Amino acid sequence: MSSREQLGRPYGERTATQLVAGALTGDEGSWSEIVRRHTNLVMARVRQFRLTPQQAEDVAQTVWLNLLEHLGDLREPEALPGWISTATRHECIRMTNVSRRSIPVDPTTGRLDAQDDVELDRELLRTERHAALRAALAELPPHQRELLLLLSTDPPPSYQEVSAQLGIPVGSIGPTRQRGLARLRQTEAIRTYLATPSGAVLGEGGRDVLALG
Amino acid sequence: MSWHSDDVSLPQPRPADRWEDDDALAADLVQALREEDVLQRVSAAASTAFGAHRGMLALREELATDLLLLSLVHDSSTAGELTGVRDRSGQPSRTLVFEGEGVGVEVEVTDGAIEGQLIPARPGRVVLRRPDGDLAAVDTDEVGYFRLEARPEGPVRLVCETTDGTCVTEWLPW
Repeated sequence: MSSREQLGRPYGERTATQLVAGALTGDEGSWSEIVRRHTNLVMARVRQFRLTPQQAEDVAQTVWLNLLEHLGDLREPEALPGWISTATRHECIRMTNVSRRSIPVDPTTGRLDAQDDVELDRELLRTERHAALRAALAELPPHQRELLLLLSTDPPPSYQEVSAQLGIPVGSIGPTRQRGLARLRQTEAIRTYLATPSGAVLGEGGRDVLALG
Repeated sequence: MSWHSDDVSLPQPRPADRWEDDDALAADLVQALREEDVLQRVSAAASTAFGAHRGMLALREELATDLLLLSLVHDSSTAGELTGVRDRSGQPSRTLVFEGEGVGVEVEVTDGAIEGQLIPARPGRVVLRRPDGDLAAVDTDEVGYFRLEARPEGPVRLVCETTDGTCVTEWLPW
């Protein structure tokens, strides 16, 4: 297939090389797809370092800003995951050091590359799992989705509060929840997730670059 | 493993079996939704970054000379070791040095102010920029010293203009 034909494809099917080329010419759709493919990686890192939401936002913004400025120097677009993973890790460490709050984090976190890889893998698996659950929830009919969303707030509301808020009888909450969860298991998002082997996030070459981090 | 009652202890297989249980599935759903706020911030930060970058490219177009990117070469908060948890309360300030192609800028960030110096020493103008706009701007003195009354939050950069050209520091939360 010629590159001209490939550029007509949806963003989700384009190669990293095509997306980088697109982002460099100012195509925001290409940039958004690069971001979409690597958000799990950034999320896993900020979870690994137990950052607050504000710290996580600052780290992510710093990584995205600097990535945009280095996008043109990236010799091998397939190395993107490694670059992002390493840059995010460095910004997380910096954020941890600068933060004035005492941080309830194991000082050895992420300091040894072997351990770092294990931790990052664990957070990546968790991030993938959470993404699947959120996608599954979006597939549910509104009445089940709204109930599960409400029951998932922290702290969980009482059934009386749920009843008042959603205008459904207290007695129907339990059964609706049960049917909603059953349906959640049958969603395409969950079935695809359970059928897909994990660990594809870093892609080719990602691990090698990570080792340099 | 009692201190890891959370599900972070060991390599995790696909949780098909665990999700047979309603309460286990609901508990994972709570975790997944709790993450949504951060997820949205991370995605929104990428859009802001794109806008800021396009702005910088537009600035580059206006310039007669090239826009030089200065890299961070020293950060007192991570100097010597990228390890350990440090409480900065004992340190009055943070020193950052940015360099590129023989020029640079050194800044000292304290609680309410930023003091800095252009390298090599020469007069100019500095602008403290956030991704969504400018925070402060000031002319330096004859030897390139400047002081900005600002305590920036989130990533910022300095845009330094001298008669020799314009340079920008890499993005960094100060």
